Amino acid sequence: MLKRLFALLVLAVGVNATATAATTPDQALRGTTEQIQKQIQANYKDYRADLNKFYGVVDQVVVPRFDVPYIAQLVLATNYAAATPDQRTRFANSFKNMLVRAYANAMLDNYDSIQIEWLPVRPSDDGKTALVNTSMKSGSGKAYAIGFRVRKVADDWKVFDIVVENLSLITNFRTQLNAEIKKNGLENVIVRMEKGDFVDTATNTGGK
Amino acid sequence: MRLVGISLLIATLAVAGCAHRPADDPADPLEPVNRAVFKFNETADKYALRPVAKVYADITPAPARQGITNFFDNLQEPRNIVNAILQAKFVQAGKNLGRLLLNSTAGLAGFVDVATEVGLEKHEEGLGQTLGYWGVGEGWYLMLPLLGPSTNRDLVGFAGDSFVNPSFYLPGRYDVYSISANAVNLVNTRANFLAADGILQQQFDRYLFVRTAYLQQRWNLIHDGNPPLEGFELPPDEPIDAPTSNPQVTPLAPASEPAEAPK
Repeated sequence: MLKRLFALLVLAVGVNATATAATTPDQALRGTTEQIQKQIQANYKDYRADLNKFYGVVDQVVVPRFDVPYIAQLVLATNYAAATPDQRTRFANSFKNMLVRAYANAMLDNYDSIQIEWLPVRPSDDGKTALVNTSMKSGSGKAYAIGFRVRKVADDWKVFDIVVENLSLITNFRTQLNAEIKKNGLENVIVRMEKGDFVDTATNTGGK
Repeated sequence: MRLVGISLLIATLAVAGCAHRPADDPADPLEPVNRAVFKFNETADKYALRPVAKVYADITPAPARQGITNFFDNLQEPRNIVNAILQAKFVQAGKNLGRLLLNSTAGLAGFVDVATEVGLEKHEEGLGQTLGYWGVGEGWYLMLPLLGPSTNRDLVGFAGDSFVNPSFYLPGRYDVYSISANAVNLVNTRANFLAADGILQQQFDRYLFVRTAYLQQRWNLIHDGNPPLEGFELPPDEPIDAPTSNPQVTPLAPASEPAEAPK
């Protein structure tokens, strides 16, 4: 079910990579939803037949809307300082790839059945970050509260956290991955992520 | 009972003087014990509660389950009212009172949530939240046998709230009817969470997932759904806007050829 939720929210922040800087956080996320939905609509069969092709599109269209390096920094927290530049890069990429792989199928399943209601944006006091609230209704009709924490990067808004029913994705991964790193070391965790270990956990045991 | 309550209160005030901590870095000095209890709870759930809840969910129509959920929610309304008042949220207390009156009568003793239909939506308040509202920190994270996650503060709240539950004042509260009602409530509540089992099973570390989720959920409730937009704590020597040290993002390698894994 989490997979499905995540698919909804990845869909919601899909963005045309060539889009010019949007002025407000919700505009940045909003007009772009259609973009990835259109892509899937036009090439649905292709993507189903060749998932790698779809990963490529997600990388091109959705990923640029996320501040991946910053997310890596947030997730690693205290472990970030001790990591080598090479480890930081590998962690950022394998973390991103883990999410893309884990949720690609669910994204294809749900692209045409979700309804997104955009709620008022909550800017932070210093205006550098904001929370874009949405209510997303899946095909089953149940609505989920999903929020996007965005921050200003070079005149554009980029997502650095997703809050699903009040649970922060960053906080969740931060707690669990750092416990894993404490037990087995950063290198071990990165290697396992690169091998796709955690994707299997997510995909095979994720219910439906 | 009273003695337990008082000693709990003292224990909490002793440790809860400290401020709120972020959900990813709570005070969990009892972690080894908590983990053992969590394991016990998971086993009890796996072999007893969950199978019963599954059968119950299969044989009970969804509207009936919703009605039962509503009924037990309605019994919590006095708690919501008292705690809204304790937080000086008088308008909210009035709304909760309206819910109690409307649902207990027109809502057929609470089985139908008519109040939500007229715009009086469910709003949960409890003593743990009240303490949090006035700045009492969580204290330690606790995993209670069979009762699940809590904190020092919320445990005190839980004990205190039992005095405003109507069932506390029923004459035969340990008789067979009362105990059956509690059992129905327990199974029904568990059935409502069956859909979340998949999420739990996906996690690398279920204990940590439950802990983080619980603490975030409580923090959110204390702030009536709008917790402050806090930044994440980062090590001081790593400024958050340091693009020079940022890793390069590269496209996902084809799934069939995973990236080389150095030994």
